[in-house]
Amino acid sequence: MGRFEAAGRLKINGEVPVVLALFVFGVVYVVAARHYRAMPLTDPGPGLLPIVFGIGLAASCLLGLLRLRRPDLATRPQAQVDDISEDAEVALGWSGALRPLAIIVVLLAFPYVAPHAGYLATSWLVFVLSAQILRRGHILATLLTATGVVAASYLVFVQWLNLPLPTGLVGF
Amino acid sequence: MFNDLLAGFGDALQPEYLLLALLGVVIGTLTGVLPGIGPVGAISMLLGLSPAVGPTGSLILFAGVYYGSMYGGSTTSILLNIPGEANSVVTAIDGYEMTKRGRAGAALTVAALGSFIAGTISILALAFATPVLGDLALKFGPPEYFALSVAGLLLLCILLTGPLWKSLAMVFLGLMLGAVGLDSLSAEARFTFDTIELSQGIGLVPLAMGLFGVAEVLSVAQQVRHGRVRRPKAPRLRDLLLTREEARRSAGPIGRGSVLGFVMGLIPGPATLTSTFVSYVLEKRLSRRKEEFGKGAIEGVAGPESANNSAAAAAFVPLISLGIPFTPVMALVLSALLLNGITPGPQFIDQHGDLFWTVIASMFVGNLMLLVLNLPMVGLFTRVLALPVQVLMPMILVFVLVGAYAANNTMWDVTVMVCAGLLGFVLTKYGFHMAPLLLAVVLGPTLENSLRVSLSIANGGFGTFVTRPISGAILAICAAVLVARLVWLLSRRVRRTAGNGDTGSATPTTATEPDSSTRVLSERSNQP
Repeated sequence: MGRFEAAGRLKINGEVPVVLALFVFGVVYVVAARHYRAMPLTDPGPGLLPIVFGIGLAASCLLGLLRLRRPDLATRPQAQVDDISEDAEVALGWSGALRPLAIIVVLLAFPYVAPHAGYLATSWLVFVLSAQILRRGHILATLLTATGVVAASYLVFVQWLNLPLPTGLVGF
Repeated sequence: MFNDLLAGFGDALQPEYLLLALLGVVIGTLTGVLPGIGPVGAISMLLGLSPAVGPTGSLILFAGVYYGSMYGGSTTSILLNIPGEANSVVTAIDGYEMTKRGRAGAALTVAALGSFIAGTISILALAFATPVLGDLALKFGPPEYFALSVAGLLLLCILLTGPLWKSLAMVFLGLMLGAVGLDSLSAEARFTFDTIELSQGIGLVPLAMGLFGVAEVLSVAQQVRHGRVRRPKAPRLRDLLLTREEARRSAGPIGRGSVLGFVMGLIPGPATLTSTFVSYVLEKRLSRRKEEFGKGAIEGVAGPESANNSAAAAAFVPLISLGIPFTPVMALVLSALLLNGITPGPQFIDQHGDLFWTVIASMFVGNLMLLVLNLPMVGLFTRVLALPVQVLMPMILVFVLVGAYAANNTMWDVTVMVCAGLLGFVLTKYGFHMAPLLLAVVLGPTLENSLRVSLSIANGGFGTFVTRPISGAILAICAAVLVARLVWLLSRRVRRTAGNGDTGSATPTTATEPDSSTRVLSERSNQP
């Protein structure tokens, strides 16, 4: 029970800043929307609905913040991954919070690297790096799988569907 | 109509379309088998390919994925008690009990047969209902479109599990994101910060891929576990045969589920999900063996499985005849059509009759493919569960990167997708549903334009929405459902307070703990 309550508190602590951020976004959006004409109602301008939407988001979040003050009404933390393995172990090395962040960094690098290195090399790199982030080790298997998947994707997307993917300086 | 359908079969049986239908049903089945991805995620990953395969190819591919996921979801529900997607949660109740009693084969067969029969019936109904509703939709004006948009968003929020304020917040966030770009009525740029990229608006393709594809990968990355995956034992071919008694008991639920699913699919909201619950309750009420429900009643598999497949086909009716999607999957199908320069609506069948009938015909073909593929190859599909995350997730990343780039050949969309992925990951982690957000982005322009035009026509009077019979009726239904939900919430709180008062020892945490089926539904209802 203690662990469960601790998990519940952890959830509530993390949830409040998210809801607060959404509330602030709603308010800022309303302020920005006031620059566009809203009235008269006989000829509503492009600012009317954005103001309503922003107020709606802020009001929903305000309601949520009020409810989150009451632990009995707060939502439960989401369950962990499905019980697909009875003898499963939580991966060591990358902590839970770092792995998604590392994958985001890899993905954000794609738009900068792909125009120079080309689709094939960049997507191969994305595959290898994200696989290693998810689970370290088995480097040879990862390299071979990445080569196979990227080659297959090249055949489907470029050869079959004729998608104009970035070729980069090397030409493919 | 019969000649049109025959011509449609002529086109649908071309090798290219057959291949796309096969690809769609295989991807869909895999999507259904794998927990987490869901049809919305799979279709959003493929959305970038839509211009390359054309409008007919896109519809055939996406319909296959949608149906396939319904089939595939039932497999893991029955064999492992792990619903691959939200619509199979109910199937797990009696399906897994049948597996424990050694009747897994019968459960899989009745799920596949029920899905096939319901799918076929609903495709026929779709072929007849769409032109009729299309004629009716010609009478719709801006107030009716506004009411339908509100109904689509509101009913989805009300019927999803979890706090209503979270779903409403996601709707407003989606509407806000949908308002970015050039205003279609005044051509004024909104929230663009003088950038060309934002003046086009936030692309639905990268947004959907981020919210569902990238967010899912990030979520798995955070919770990744290693170890042997529990793989189900696939039944032998001879175990798939139904006994005469099982066949007799399944016939009624399949018929009722087909009709119920189709009717519910025409109503805004997550019909493929809700129809399974309604069908289960209905079958339990009608059954003479009520005590068997929850312990392996075949009616508990046959009814819900038929209902969700029927509802899936019915969801195409409002999209094609009104141009309004009621579910996130249909929102993605709509965007695929728009990417190909086709706007669905009342004139759709007149203007694109060949496309419509080809898709209808290919739905029959796809349904048949699913039946032939799924039963003998059930063991093969369940092997996908053993695919390690460090292979599956990077594959998804490569596909979404290609898809996001390919839609407009711009790296801006890739950046938008990654940002949307991060947003989706954080919000989903804290219990926000992404489905209302995505639907709001799609319905936002229709909602806004119809409201502003209606107000202009009515000289600023809001009365026009309630005095016109169709829009008034739609809004009245929305209000009634909302009031019913609020009354239910209030009564639940009163009961809970009374319960706490009685026991005296009940802690707040245990008092709000949902039962296991509700929790599974809540976790998976991001992909209605």
